[in-house]
Amino acid sequence: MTSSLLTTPTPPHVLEARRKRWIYGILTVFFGITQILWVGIPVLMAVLWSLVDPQHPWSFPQLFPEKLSWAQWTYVFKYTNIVRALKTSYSVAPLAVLLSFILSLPTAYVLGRKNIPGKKVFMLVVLLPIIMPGMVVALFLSRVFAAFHLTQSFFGLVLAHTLMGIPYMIRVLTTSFEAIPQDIIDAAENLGANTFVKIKDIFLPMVRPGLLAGMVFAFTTSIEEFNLTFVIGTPTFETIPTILYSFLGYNFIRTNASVVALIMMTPNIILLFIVERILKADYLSASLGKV
Amino acid sequence: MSRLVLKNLTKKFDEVVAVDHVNLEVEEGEFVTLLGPSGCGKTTTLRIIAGFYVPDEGEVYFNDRLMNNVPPNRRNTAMCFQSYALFPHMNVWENIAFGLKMRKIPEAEQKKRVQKALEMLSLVGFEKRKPGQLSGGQQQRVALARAIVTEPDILLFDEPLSNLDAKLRVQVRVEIREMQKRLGITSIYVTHDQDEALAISDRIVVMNQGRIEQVGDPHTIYLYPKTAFVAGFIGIANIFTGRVLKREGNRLLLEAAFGQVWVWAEGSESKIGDEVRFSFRPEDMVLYREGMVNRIRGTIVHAIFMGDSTDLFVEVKGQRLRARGGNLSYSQNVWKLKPGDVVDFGVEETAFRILS
Repeated sequence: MTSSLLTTPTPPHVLEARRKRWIYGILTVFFGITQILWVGIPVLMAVLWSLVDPQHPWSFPQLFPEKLSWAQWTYVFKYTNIVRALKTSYSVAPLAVLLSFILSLPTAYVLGRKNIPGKKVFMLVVLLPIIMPGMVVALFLSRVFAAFHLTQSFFGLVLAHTLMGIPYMIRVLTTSFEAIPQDIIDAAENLGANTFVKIKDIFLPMVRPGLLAGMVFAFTTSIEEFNLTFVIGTPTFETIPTILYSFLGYNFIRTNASVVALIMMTPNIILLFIVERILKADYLSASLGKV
Repeated sequence: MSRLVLKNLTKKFDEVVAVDHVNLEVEEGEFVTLLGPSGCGKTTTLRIIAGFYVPDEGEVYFNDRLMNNVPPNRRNTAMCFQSYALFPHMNVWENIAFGLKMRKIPEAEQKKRVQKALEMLSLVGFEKRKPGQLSGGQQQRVALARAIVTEPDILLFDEPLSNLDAKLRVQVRVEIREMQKRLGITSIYVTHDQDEALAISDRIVVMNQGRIEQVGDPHTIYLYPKTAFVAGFIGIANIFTGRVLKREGNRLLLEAAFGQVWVWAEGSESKIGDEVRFSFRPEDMVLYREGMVNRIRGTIVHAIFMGDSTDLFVEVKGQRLRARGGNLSYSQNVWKLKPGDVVDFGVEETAFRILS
């Protein structure tokens, strides 16, 4: 009895907090290691490979290349259509994002706000284009595109990329529409808002975070899209991935591929950071309370 | 400001009758509460008034204007939601000004009215905050401000206080009532909380299973319940059935399961041998004093000390009765009673209510 008076036992909530700290610690370490293995090392390797000097090949026992140079970068910019491909990629992607947004919005609204039969089935069907192997989709879709004379055309390319963006867009927007409480819509209507105002002042601002997320998905999908572009667009149109793929396969050139991979990757990462900032500002100030 | 008339209002959801031939007239500037358990049709009635539901039968009139086919955004009602339903992406000022913007009220006038509402509800200084940065009570006040700035014909409240803690609830309901009186806006208030209804209303409409059970001012509803439902839903009631043994003018001698009692039953048509439902309040079951006509001897089962009063559960001939005594410091030491005590209680004959 006396001992319990002298040494206060650790209260349960402190024990709980300690246990939590342990779990979080282990998870952080685990997460950190996997991130380094999956992302950190490959990116580092890509950077190193892209800087290998052609005169001093980088081979097994060496931990780092003997000599670094811009030779691989110069080569890619000199001997491939990378600049034109960049232009194509970055003009197709925004158009595809815009088009998939416009096409997805009504569908997502109905799926998110109305009780329609077969909604779950439809949500699965919407995902099919990204579930099925890309080349399979591309092969059969190219026939359809050919029938409408859309192969080897810029518009056809945009349309193809739009198709790949729509599943993401619909999924994310549907969830955003679903998340809006009916009370808020009713309140707007009660205060005098007509349908147009409800869409402009309530629905669109409230799905904005979802919309941005969907746009990032659609955009990066378009930038990385190979199958459809290869079947429908090449050789008239080259994008960054088609050039990247040309360095893979039978004439595998890792150094050049690394250069193109970095070119493809960097803007995506920057975009992701920008959107993350916007989303954070949106969420924190709008709904989650004091920052 | 408007007079509100509901005529024969009926609304079904599939086969469930949510609102069943409701008739109600609300005067200009009156504060009327729809009170009832969940599923009684009170919220459906409110949403029909707002225009969110179209009634299957019956009519809604604002003054003399039939509103059945007027969409919600053209009705000039303003609703306060249980969830507040503030626009999360707009700040306090934008939220309050929303209804004014919709009505195309000039910018300068908007500013004046929003400013006035902010002052009225002590929200000055919070204009730039988003709803997520406000406490529940503040959000509630923004919702109120947003509703009143539009100067609606009818204010509609859908359980607006149920997300607040108990103390704040009492405070805000006084604020709502004061503000409504000052502005004189006709108000319909939906709640399942009887205390709230009693405290806030000019008149209470007690609803059950889609129908109106009784309409009356708070005193009438509490002191003169007409049905067993009203007696049991508002406050606590001892509800029993008794057979008429004797009739002396307006007085009936009833034989109930807990014994015989003399009951003052003015207006009752009951004859000897009839079965009659009646009720009485726990606070009317007092310690027996000399000269009282009805004496009920019972055993205390539970005695719950509540500070200002003591709640007693009393067993009489196998029946459970509820009694409540005020804990006066100078007499009637009700709080001293313990389980097992055998006590004589008395109920004045005018304390009984005959129910239909």
